[in-house]
Amino acid sequence: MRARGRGAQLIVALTKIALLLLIIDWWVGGRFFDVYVLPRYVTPFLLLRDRTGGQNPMMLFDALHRVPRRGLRVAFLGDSTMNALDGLDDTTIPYLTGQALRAQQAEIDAVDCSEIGLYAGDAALMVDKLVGARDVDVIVYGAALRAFPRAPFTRWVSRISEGMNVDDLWRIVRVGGGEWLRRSLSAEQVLTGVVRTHWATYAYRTPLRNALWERRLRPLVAGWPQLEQLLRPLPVVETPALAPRAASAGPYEWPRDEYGPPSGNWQALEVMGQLCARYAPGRCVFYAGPVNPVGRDHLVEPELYEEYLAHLRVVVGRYGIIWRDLTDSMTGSDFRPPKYGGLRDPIHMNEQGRAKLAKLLVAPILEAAANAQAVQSRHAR
Amino acid sequence: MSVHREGAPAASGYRGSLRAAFSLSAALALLLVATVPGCGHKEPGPEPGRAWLDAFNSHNADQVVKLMSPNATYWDPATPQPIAPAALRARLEAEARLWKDRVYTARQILVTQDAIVVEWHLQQTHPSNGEPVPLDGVTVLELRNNLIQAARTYYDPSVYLRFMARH
Repeated sequence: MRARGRGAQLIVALTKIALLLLIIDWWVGGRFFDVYVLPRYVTPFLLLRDRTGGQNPMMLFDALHRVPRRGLRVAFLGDSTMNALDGLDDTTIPYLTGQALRAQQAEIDAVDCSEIGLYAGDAALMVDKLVGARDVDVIVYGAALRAFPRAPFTRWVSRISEGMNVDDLWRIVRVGGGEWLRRSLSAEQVLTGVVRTHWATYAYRTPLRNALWERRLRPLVAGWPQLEQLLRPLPVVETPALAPRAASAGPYEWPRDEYGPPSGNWQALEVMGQLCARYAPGRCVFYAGPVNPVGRDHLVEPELYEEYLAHLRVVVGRYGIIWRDLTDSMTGSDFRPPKYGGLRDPIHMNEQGRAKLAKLLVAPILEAAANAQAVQSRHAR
Repeated sequence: MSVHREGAPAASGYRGSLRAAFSLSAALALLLVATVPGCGHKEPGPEPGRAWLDAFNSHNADQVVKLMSPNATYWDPATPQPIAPAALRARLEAEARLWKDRVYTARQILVTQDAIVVEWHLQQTHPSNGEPVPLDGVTVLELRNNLIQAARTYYDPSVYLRFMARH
């Protein structure tokens, strides 16, 4: 009798704890997100983009659901060539393209989903989340051969692989990317992703810690430096604005043995195509990013670059993706000075180049937007 | 019709008649497959159509020619007479130099007994000004021994004339 009573007490206690955790989680995912996260990471800025340096890309996807759209929502995906490195929001390609589209009377809500150093594998996971979000009408992916290495440098692998929920994983499996997914994600990443995406308290533990410190603990420990040092949340390690490149000993900066096929990143492009074809037909735009014509002979062997472009064309053709090859669309004066030595930057454009690129993206995005509007009016009927 | 198998034990009684009935049904099914038109003839499937467009999208003329038999012919509104694979190779190489971003997408692939019909959409921008010159068309691929024997492409060539008239 006594043992049964103790068991019942334990069940009641556990139920209370579970209920408390559920209430906290509901509060974190709702009110806390609205009053603490949005005013710090989203609403003060011109553009919706990841402000955590790739540390918590989930915040961007949650904000997509919560922030009302100002028109047809276009998500831009890419690496540092897309997000202007350390440039201001109003010099990024998503912002400039949004402006160029507005000049054509298109009501566009541009969202910057780019990440410094984003590899194609991570871009495929982002595309998967975006096609599943339903809050995004058009997806624009700026591809660069730099994003297709055989062995990605861990420092630039984003944490999106730890942000996939069960639906996200299922979508990839459903389009035939199960094998790629199995090779790309570890069991630990899958588990972390499922926990993080279904448990807001865990996903937002850092902003929670900061809020607790700012609003409750700091005033309490003001006179006690040791305690303050102990309780103050550690500052977030800032991601450098540009992935430094190791100098290559061979004749090319992007040699075939590092960037050539086959690799998980090359396969990821196919997965992206499959996701677009199934979940966003006619609403994905891919482009091959501009390459600086100055010193191009030393960047990549011509055969490898041709193979890369052929791979892009075959994938976009196979899956009906709107496409532009913008490799040769710029001159040397459209690129920024090199940040890590050398005579020129091979792929990062200056503001003039980005404005030029934004104009070139208008026509394909309008084509995708027309397809998105056709889908919306079909649903409305 | 009977089926003899080496080393098979002789059947008798109920099991024997069951086996005879099964053999008769199998023989009738084989007869049906052999005589009814279309039955037993394996349709090629849409893969050669997809492979054709993939090869065009690779901008590698050799990949296109590899899909054709040596005596195959290709025709489209820009060729007054059907041309041989070697002439097609030269033409594709020249086109790839001009239309660098040209990409075909299949809208529909219809498969018949020995032909594949591909309805396609072509994306391309002119290098002089980046203006899109989209085109829609249909290609009929006649197959023999898994190789393309004849390819005929139909599209509206006035799309190019209108583009040239604008510039």
